[in-house]
Amino acid sequence: MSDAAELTRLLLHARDGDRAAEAQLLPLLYDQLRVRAMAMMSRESAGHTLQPTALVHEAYVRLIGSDMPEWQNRTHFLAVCADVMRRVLVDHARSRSRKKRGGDVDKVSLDVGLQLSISHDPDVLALDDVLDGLAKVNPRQARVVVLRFFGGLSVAEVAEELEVSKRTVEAEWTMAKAWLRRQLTQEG
Amino acid sequence: MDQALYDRIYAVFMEAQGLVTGELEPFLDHACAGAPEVRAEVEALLAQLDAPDPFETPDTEDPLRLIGQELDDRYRVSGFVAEGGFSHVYRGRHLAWDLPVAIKLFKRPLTPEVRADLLESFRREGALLARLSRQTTSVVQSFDLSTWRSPRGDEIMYTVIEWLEGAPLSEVLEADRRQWALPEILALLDGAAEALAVAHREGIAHRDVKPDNLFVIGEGDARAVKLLDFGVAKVAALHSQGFEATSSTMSPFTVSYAAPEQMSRQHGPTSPRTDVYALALVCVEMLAGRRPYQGKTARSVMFQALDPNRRPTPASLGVSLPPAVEQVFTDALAVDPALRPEHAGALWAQLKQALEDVQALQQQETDAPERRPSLWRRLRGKR
Repeated sequence: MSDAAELTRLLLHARDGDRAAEAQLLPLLYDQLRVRAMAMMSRESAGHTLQPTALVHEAYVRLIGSDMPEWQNRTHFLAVCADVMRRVLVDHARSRSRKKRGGDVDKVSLDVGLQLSISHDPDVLALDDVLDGLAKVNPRQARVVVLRFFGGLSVAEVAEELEVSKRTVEAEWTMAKAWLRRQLTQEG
Repeated sequence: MDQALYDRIYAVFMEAQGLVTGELEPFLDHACAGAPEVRAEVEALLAQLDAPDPFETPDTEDPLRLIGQELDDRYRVSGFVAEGGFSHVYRGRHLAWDLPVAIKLFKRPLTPEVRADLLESFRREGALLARLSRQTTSVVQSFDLSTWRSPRGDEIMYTVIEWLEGAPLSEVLEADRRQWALPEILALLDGAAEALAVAHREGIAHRDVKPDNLFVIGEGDARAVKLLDFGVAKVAALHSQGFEATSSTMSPFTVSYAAPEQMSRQHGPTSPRTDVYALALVCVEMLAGRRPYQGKTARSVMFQALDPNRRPTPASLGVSLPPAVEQVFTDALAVDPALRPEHAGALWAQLKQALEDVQALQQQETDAPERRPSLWRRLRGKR
């Protein structure tokens, strides 16, 4: 499945609501992103944080790459990858904390690169919990955060993906960021 | 907390964050009357906003927070222009020459591997533009290529190109939705055809010809078009395997103007004939006063573009043209690249020739009634 045409076909079908295509697509992306994330984490020196958006962008360039159409699919691809990237990082953080139970828990930090403005980069599992909480009270704001943090989508791209105005995304992003900061600093 | 409470906090917070200190207390007194839990939450959230964040500006107005900054002591960034698929475009000034420039920066953080690839394709695009713009003024000029280190430590690649005053053809068409006459189209797009012809002579296809990339400068009769964005042009050479790319890492283009070979590999590699297709499609859009493909989704556009029985020719859109002109479009928009004119120069020559022939024929027909007597006179040897 290195064929970009096949991947694009799956993306188009998944976008149109084809569950079978989605079921084929997600594991492919999961493997791809997991392998790359693990490679980077093992290679980088300790204390270096992972840039999930850089990996998602790399996946786009590598998988969709040359010769295939970009169109609105780029945004959608990044959006799908954002969810998968979150899954990859959470799974990895869980397995690490299980292995180290009783000892020093080596937290996986990520450089979300998006001005959370808290003193330290958020721990993946803490962020995941807080995002789940936000999704319960305002699913769309949680979605905005996932797309921005894990997919690296710009405000304009989030607006396109969620089919709302840029102004709405700006407002929800402002609120969601304040909310996340509050939750994370409370727990932190 | 439930959804209703969250939404209420959200509404109050959004209003409150726009207020100045003196207005805040009375507003909260009023908005949170009888709901101390809402007030407590809003105040806690507002406190989060006060966290120092010197770079915070609205994302859509200055996404890289660059306005006012100097890049490499050579350019001062003065404004944000647009967001593209992979890059942001800013307006700036060349400090030494005091000239306006456009600065194109990669917008996402990149892994080292991808950065190396893209740097190479960026460099190649710059070198290509420099070479092509020496042969025609219809290609945007390239000035510089460098890397800027952001305050966060990201390394962001950028290129500096000529600043153009005008608007993309897409905006011109949007503002003036009408059916253009063919001579008018040939006059306006002449620069685009020339720029493509120059590239095609070098064995290079642009691969993303569309109204967004055709930039209209000047006014009235002096209007001309410059071809933008060779970012996806593959620097390619004609050799034994045909027109094959030497290297490229990405290929963004708009499905609405994409040729069949860009959608399905079964139609072979991309080539100058890919640009012929797109340029013809832009002409058809102008002739018809609307987009050639119907249907909103990328899939439906792809199906039409690949269907030999549904070619987006002028006639198919209800535009009646002389058969010879229609035939040029039918050829240029063929699913099979081999049936199209082989480069933009050939397409343009064929269109101009067909138009001239038609005009000559029309002239003859108009002149015919008066010619008959003269012919008669000639036959009678009186002339």
